[in-house]
Amino acid sequence: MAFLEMKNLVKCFGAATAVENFSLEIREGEFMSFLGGSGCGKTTTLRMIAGFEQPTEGSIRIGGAEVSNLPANKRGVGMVFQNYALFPNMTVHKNIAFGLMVMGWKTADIEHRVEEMLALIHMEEFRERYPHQMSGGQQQRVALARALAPKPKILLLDEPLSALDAKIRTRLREEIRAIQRQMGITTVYVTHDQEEALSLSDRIVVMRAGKIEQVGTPFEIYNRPANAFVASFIGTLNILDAHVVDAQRGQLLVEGQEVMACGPVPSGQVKLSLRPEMLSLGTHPSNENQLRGQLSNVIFLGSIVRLVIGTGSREIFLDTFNTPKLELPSVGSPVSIGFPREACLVME
Amino acid sequence: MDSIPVCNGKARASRLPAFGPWLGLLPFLLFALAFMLLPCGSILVGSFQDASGHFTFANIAHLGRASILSSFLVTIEVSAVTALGGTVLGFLLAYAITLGKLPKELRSMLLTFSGVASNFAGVPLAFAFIATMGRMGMVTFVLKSVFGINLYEAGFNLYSFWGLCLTYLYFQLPLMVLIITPSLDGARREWREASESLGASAFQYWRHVALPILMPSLLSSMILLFGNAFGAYATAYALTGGLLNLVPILIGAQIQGDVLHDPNLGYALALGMVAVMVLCIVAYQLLQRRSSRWIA
Ligand SMILES: Nc1ncnc2c1ncn2[C@@H]1O[C@H](COP(=O)(O)OP(=O)(O)O)[C@@H](O)[C@H]1O
Ligand SMILES: [Mg+2]
Repeated sequence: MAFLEMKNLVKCFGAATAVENFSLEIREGEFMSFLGGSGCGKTTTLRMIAGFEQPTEGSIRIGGAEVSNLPANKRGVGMVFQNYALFPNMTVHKNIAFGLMVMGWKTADIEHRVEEMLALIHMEEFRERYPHQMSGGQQQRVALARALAPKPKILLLDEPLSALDAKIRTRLREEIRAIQRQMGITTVYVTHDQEEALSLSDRIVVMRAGKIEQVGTPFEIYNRPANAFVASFIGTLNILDAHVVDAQRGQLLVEGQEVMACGPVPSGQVKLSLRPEMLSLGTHPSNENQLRGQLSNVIFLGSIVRLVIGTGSREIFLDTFNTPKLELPSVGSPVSIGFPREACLVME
Repeated sequence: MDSIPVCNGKARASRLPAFGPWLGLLPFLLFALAFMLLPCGSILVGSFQDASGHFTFANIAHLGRASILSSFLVTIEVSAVTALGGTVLGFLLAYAITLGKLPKELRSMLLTFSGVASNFAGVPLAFAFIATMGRMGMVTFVLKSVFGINLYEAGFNLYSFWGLCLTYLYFQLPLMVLIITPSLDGARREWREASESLGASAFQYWRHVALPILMPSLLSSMILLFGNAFGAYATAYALTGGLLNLVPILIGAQIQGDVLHDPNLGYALALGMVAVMVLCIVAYQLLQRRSSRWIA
């Protein structure tokens, strides 16, 4: 049973269509991410859920009730913005209390709830600070507490971490997810950062040009991308031109060498996509496929070592774990790339 | 021995840039000295002298006369009314062209107009109003002949207190638009949206968020408008021809007039005006501090 249901949402700005035929069902308590490049309509969709934009067409239901015509302040939807948007004239305490105050809570209840929220974000000692007296990460945690204080039905976050630096970003990301789990609140999280979406979400919506390309768990999106766009958008990918020899059996010709994929595959000219971490050096019995090439570069990425291997017209990335025992061939020497047929993503 | 001159040279070189910024301030300081401090000083001195240059309290005592007190009162009233009217109306107009969803072209048109209108004062402005809202003015005529509304029979008079206020509003309002527009541009759309999504009504948003944030700018703009009207001379003189007993007109009469000629009373009147402005600025500082504790 869907808790938040969008049906055929369309949003036009003048002649331009920002969101097209957007249909999605989100379960209660689910953490859903909208992932896509800049300008693909993520924010616009989120703003329609919040009630800041009126859909040109389509319907939005929360808990079974149609809300498209409800003003934002009647929807019970909490929102966290990229630039925090705390009220600069109020202390942390007043910011968090604001939603409760305008809803007419009793003072004692407000105090109790504010204390609860401050404890949740571990910022009890910041109670009387003004926004300008805090770091970006602290402000964003307060913004999260402010949005959650009135117990909204749904929490919306629009790129909440993109204004922060990398270290704080990862920490706050985990904190957001922990708080979301603890409160069990249905959440929609907008991001252009695939790592963020993959690490946080129950499910991800990959969007392009106002349309949904794929909806699925991080596992599905990563391992079974619906099309070449999703495949190239998520993770690093080697995309090679291939010619199908036998579509039924999955036999391909790549760079003049034979490769076996899991058949059946589309026929004619196709794209063969290979994740760098699915490839390994040398021959191994479980790797049916071999591509020969020449090692042209070695890049250390910390826990991973990326080998760049030239195969005729193309360079292929091969990722391997970085261990002290790792023995690598020298740059310029001929190498063999091995991979199982399951590693082959064949797309038209 | 060798190292000493080198050391000195270094010290001088590193101290020099510290003077740089102050050097840039010099023209301003000279200007302030020549056109603010010296005149203020001579006003102060002149206020306590009689015609022959002897010390006296008579000029200051004359400020207590009923006619002079009433002229201070009416000047403050005109300034306060037009400052308040200009602030409220100018704010609404600025709101409409910034946060309101009016087309962009309208915004730049209005700002250009405001730039011109806020500097349109004195005799030309007075004449423009006489030609439109005067007894024989265009607007007066059209209202009477087309709509059957007789402004002057209804009690309106351009050469009265309210007539002067209306005329002053012509430059007060656009001045307000010019100075408050940047503040409104700085108001984030997200504040409004955050407030809405937390369940607040538009009224609650303005009461608790927008007005408190804008209050320091609104207050300072209002003081500016007040001062702007308080010192205005030419417009009032050209419009009412001295019918309204404003302090600047009174000062003019003491300095240039034949009948009323008494420059030292003029100095005392000017000193009174300075005192009023100082009071305004102090009041503003106090209000500002209360309304913006949240600024760093
Ligand atoms: N208020 C608006 N007026 C006109 N066009 C808009 C407006 N808001 C968004 N758009 C357009 O809609 C498209 C989607 O924008 P947006 O939802 O903000 O993308 P994203 O958040 O995915 O980066 C963009 O092409 C953008 O230019
Ligand atoms: Mg966006």
